[in-house]
Amino acid sequence: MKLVILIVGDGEADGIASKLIEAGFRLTRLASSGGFLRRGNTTLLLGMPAEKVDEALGLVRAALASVTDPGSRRGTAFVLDVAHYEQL
Amino acid sequence: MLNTSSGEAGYLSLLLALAIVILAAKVFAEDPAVAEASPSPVRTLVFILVQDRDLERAMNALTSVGARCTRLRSRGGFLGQSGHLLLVGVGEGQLPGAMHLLEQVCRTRVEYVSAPLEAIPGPMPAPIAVQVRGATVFAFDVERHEEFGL
Repeated sequence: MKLVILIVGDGEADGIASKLIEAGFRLTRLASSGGFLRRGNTTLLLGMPAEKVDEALGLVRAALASVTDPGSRRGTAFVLDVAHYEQL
Repeated sequence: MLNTSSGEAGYLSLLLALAIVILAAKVFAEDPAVAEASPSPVRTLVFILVQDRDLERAMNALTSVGARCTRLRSRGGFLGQSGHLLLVGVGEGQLPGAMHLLEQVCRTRVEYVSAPLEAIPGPMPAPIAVQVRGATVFAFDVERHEEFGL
């Protein structure tokens, strides 16, 4: 299992989240803000099997590429290994 | 004669200036704060739990070394005090430098609070020493890091 931590702009979060959910990913949304400009953004937490990481990041990349405002196309992803995962 | 010596002096001062520049570059390169400004691939994701009062200083310290952080509001489990969770991606070998900076701005300290106790009569309540804990840090290995739209 992997944990993907995804940080995207507030305006893009909805579109990205719905694309990921459509593809069967489950996610948790957290309101956050950037450190430098202190603008609002959204942090998404996604747990997934290792082999799904490429698909998820591909979806995010595609969703961000279709955003019209070039300044809002930015996003950050961290992929961490999960020692133990359980869905209760 | 005069010409030669002034030319020599010019040459010497040029050499001296060059030496100063090289020395300064070396000193700055060894300063962890400056060395960290150069971007390197993110290897570690650090979760830093800071109190409200330390937030500004912690974020300024991290920003000054070129680390980009994301901030989330959080609440402590015991006292329910409001705090922040900072997510910071740092490069190979940059963690000790970042921790060193953070230690200076949000370490454990003793503060004195004067709690007005109605049960105890008296003109002034005695100040009570309270240990205020510093930041809590969790560091995780980053398997993969991607920046979109750069």
